[in-house]
Amino acid sequence: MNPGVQGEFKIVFTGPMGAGKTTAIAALSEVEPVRTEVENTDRMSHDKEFTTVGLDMGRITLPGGQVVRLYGTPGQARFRFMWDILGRGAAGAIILLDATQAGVLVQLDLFVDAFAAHVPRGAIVIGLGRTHQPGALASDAFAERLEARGFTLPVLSVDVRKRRDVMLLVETLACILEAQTTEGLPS
Amino acid sequence: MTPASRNIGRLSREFARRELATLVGTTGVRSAVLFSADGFEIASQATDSAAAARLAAIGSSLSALGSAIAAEAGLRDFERTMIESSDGTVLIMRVHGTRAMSLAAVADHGAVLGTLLWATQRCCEALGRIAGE
Amino acid sequence: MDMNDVNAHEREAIQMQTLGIHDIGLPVDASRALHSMLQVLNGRLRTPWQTCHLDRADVLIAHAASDPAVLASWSRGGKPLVLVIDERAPRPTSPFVLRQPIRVMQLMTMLESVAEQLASRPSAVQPRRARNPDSTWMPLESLRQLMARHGDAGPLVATTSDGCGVWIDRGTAYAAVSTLQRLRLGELRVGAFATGPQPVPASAVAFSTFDLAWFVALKGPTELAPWLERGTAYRLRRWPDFGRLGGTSALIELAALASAHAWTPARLAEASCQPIEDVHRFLNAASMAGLVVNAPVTAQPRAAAAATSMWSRFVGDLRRHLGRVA
Ligand SMILES: Nc1nc2c(ncn2[C@@H]2O[C@H](COP(=O)(O)OP(=O)(O)OP(=O)(O)O)[C@@H](O)[C@H]2O)c(=O)[nH]1
Ligand SMILES: [Mg+2]
Repeated sequence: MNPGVQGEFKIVFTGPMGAGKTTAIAALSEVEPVRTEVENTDRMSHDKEFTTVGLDMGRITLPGGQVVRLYGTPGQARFRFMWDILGRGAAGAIILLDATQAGVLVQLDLFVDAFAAHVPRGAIVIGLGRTHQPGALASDAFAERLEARGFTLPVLSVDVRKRRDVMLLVETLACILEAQTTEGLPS
Repeated sequence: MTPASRNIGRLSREFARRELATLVGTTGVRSAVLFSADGFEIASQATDSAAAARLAAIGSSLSALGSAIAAEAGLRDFERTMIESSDGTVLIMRVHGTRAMSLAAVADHGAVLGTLLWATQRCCEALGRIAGE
Repeated sequence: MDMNDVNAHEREAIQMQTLGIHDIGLPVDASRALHSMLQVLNGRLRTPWQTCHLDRADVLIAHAASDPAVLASWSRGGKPLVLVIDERAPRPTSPFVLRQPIRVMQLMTMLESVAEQLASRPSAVQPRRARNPDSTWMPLESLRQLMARHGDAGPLVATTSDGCGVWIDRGTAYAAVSTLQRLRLGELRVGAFATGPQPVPASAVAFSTFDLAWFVALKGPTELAPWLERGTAYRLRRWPDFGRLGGTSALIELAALASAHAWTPARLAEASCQPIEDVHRFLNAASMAGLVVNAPVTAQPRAAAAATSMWSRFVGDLRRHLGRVA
């Protein structure tokens, strides 16, 4: 994974159903993203009309000519094979979660474990949505859960409908990657 | 009961299984799964039920990717796709009905391609009719 | 440890004073789990721990809903208190909190930081504080003391640099929406807390005192806080929630570096190419918000590497693209 050589690399947006992966990529992509949304027949799990079953794909081109591909995964565990396909070779992962969903801390563990295997150590940022809604779990509980499991990953309260908030997630991920190169060199 | 099975009544589920059984009776066809667009198994003829559920999920991804690539190429919607390996074939075909569904048929090298296509097409049409009712 | 190094052995033996721990108010199974975790952990921690009677304990582990009289009398003694809260309970403002179910990793980090605090209390902190007799640290010190009292303090008020109020009442901070907004943008300084005449206005919104501590320290003195040390390497144990607190690119960079590695303040300034004053404020704020642990100083990464990395080029390009200027 070397953007200097290929001039192109990818970031994966993942997380459970309805967390906002498709929304986040649409907010950031410079082109109309590729979507694979179909009718959601599982209204018990999430009351939304459409759900992603393949992938989302957007793109941003940086002033230096580098291309960042933004991939979104499906959220349901039955599409786990897509997590692995899309996670392979990713520079980093952004895990989106809905703070009001029951069992969201278990989802955190599930996605961190699934993507820690694919991305360089620590190249994961957690974006927590709907934190202002009643019943939302505060980001501190997520940070503590990660700490208890030996991870130090950012948990940022965001609204992925706002481009600025999605940028915050991507910038944070880029800073982590930058810090890792600093760390990686011998003194 | 999977959420998708609500799409199709109890009686027609039986009917769907019978149609799939006819398809699996075709020479070389090993298993067949009918699934909703969001990857739930609706009916299947397969020895391994966990494998049928996985096939449903992967099949729905492929159908959606098929639609995406057709749209990208400026073509009309996805109808079918075929994965050919050295020892067999997986055919995924869209079922036209009130609800978006697809059918995956798995065949070994004993299947004749033309027969497989024809039999699967016929099965999809029959399933489309019951789903439309 | 090098087994042949007799001096190291001796030094170790001096430090090996056992610390006493007592727990109250925990459900029976949680208490049992705690005791067996302590047994498992002993030998892996820098300081050995032993359960003992309340009177002899150095640390009290108490469920947040324990008898307030016992908690109050304990905190008057000035010894550390570890609060145990339920899985979904909001985090109280005391510095040491364990969330149920207690996990070994969580307990281990907690015991290490408590031991650290016990060891540093008489020697390291006091003399340095004496060298700062001026009032620059007053706002932060007053807030720190309030936070250590884990929420029993009644309404207190401080004045911001634009003349508005910030309140603390029973462990929660309150301010007008506009004040909170300006605190988030780093536009306001906050004075020391004192009992005020006005109660918390009904229009004020509640927020965490950890967030308040972060805001106050980021606009506070540019010196390293008296409770931190120049020669110690610090690492983030948790990230600040920049989504909630607001975060500049400079702060995100510091957090990324400090979560990947432990740095002394000077080396962190070098590695980030940021002024030492900003690094001090970042570390002060992060420690006030309970996000920092000290770690043994290992080989410090080479600072110049950051400037040449492909990722810093990428970050620069990305920022220009995103329109976020550092
Ligand atoms: N009110 C509110 N709505 C939000 C917030 N974040 C996301 N949403 C909404 O939540 C929905 C998320 O839908 P998607 O973007 O399709 O979610 P997804 O993660 O792609 O979902 P799947 O593809 O089904 O896994 C959208 O309707 C968003 O507008 C938030 O912070 N507040
Ligand atoms: Mg989606």
